[in-house]
Amino acid sequence: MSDSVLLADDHPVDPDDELLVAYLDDELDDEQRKAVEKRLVAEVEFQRRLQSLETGWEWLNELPNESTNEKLVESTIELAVEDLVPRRKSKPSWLRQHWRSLTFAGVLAGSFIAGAAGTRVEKKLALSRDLEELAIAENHEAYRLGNHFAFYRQLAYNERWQVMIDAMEKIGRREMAPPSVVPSLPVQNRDEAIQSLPTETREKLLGRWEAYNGYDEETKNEMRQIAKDVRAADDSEKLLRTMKAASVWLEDLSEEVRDKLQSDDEQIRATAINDAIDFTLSNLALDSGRLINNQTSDQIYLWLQVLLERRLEQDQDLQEMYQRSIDSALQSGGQTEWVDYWFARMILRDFRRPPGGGPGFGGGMRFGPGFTSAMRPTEDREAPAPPPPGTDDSTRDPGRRGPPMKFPPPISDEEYAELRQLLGAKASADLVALTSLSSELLDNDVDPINATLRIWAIEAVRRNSPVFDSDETPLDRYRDRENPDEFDLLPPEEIMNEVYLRPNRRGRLIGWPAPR
Amino acid sequence: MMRVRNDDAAAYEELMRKYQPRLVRLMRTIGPRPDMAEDLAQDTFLRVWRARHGYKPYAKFSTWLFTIAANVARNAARSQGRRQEVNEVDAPTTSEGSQAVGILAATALEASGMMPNRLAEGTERGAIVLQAVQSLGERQRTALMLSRFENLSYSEIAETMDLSTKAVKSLLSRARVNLREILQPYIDAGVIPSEVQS
Repeated sequence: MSDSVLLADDHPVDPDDELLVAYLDDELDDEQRKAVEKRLVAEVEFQRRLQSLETGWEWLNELPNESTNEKLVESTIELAVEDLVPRRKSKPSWLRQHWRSLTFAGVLAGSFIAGAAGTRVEKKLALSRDLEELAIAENHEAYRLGNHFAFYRQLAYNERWQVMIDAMEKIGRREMAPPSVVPSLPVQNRDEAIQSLPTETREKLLGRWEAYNGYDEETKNEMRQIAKDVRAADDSEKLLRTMKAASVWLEDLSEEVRDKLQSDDEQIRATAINDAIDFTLSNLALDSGRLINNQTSDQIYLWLQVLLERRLEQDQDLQEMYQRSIDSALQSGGQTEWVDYWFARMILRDFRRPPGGGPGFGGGMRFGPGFTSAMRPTEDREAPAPPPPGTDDSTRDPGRRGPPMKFPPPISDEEYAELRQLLGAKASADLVALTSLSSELLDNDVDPINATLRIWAIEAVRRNSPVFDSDETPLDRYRDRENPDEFDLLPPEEIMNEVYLRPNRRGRLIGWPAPR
Repeated sequence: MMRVRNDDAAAYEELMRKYQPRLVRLMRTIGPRPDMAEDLAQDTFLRVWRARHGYKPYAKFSTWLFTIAANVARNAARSQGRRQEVNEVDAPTTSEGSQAVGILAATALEASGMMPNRLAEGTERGAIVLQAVQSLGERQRTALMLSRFENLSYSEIAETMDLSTKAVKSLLSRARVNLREILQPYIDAGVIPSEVQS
């Protein structure tokens, strides 16, 4: 009669135990895991059950460890060799028939014994060669660029390029030239060292290894030679880092620019490098607007509305002009939101249009003269007269007709400082990251912080324009919250309002446009 | 392993050095007797060598190795005259299972009078845990060892043991629950069972 209290293999398992064990083994999907965690928070008994399952598991650490038994290794090798050697003892007739195989087996056994006898140097060399190949594979994109070392050095010692790479890392949230891991791996225990790398690093390495093995032998040989040249260089580390970053940078440049960058003429290269840096930085400036989440965008937009209110209160003429624009829009059946939109743009001194003259703006920077001038407000330029409200075109711009156009005062340094105080932690951190590098690139009269805030404000106005077409779903907006934990604690109605509605200038909640 | 497949002796030696301690530890718990662990590990390595040309590069080496190891352990158990225990019960035997619980629970409590509040340490505790693991059924302890020490996922364990993932999930749940049942009284009492002291 069985008095065992242990569960046999056919004994049903308590579903909670099974769930918790799978949870401990990290074998649950996200939904199941969250459900378990909710129960763990709510149910004390469930917590206890988890703890009890962990207890026995932790004790397994007490199982004695084993160390390598050299005698066992040697005797296993001897047995493996014996597996091969008996073939030599065959009958002569058979021997004659199979002499080729036996010769091979003999050679194999001989080399096996030689190897097993401990040709450590040879083994070490073989391991080193493997690691050398892996090191090339790890940086194959860099070596694939070719051996134009003069160009790489021109970049490596170009201060603007370094700052640009720094900016790309901060805005793109990626390392342009991550440190190589293979050189730090020990020759012996190489496999273990690779296994102990973080999963992401190991998978990246595997991907690169596979990509490298996809090259033909001729290309591999070229890459081996380049790798050798790089290793032999006095500034090898800097050179490789530059090549790695360049391989990423060049991807976004046109073929024409890439050709110029690789020119044999140093002067052509120098000019091309400067132009390409300008191009990249222009894009980065624009992209910095994309960094802000909707929460930040809303904050900035509301702040702009407050600025507009202040200006209207302080300037009677401006207020009259604003009112005329509203009236005109109403008379012509247009949307009064356009008046706010254009006034906000006037405060920001943003009058640029993209080529082709679409309703958008700011996108002109893509084609503009570069980072510095793109970021500078067009305060000193003659502003184009906005179209009057009330006609087809007029809904886009107030006050073309009637009394002379009056511009609201631009944003002052104090007001930008005020905006900075309003930003959340993430936006503030982004701002610091973006502006800690820009001073060298900007004209002396442009404050990088204010210039970046202006880019963000332009983006906020764009997102709040009456025709803004958002790609975002309510779920995106939910996920985009800066403090998700706090957000989740809000009453459901407020969460719904935040996700499905946005405030307009008058504080009314309006719906987001449907995603495209 | 690709180099071993190409008859590279140095690579084979390297593999052995890397996996031998883990394999011996595994065999100590899943094999029929702890003192057979090294022989069973050697047998496994020889089978790896003999089967090297059949190794498929898409198979993860450790999964392949442990599949062979599990077969070697199972065969050894059969040849030790334990066929019934392996095939029919595949779980703690009545006497073994109850004995394990008995030893660990009852003696812990009984011994508390002789050695109050003494906690087992070092090798003593290791021996107790080893005994607890060995009291599990063969499949439970194999799944447990592969999960706990080789970090194999459920699907990898399923591949190694030729089971479904669901079956592995249940096996590991039973193994954990059983381990808790065996060790809990001992952990709570905090004394060394007399059998382990000797």
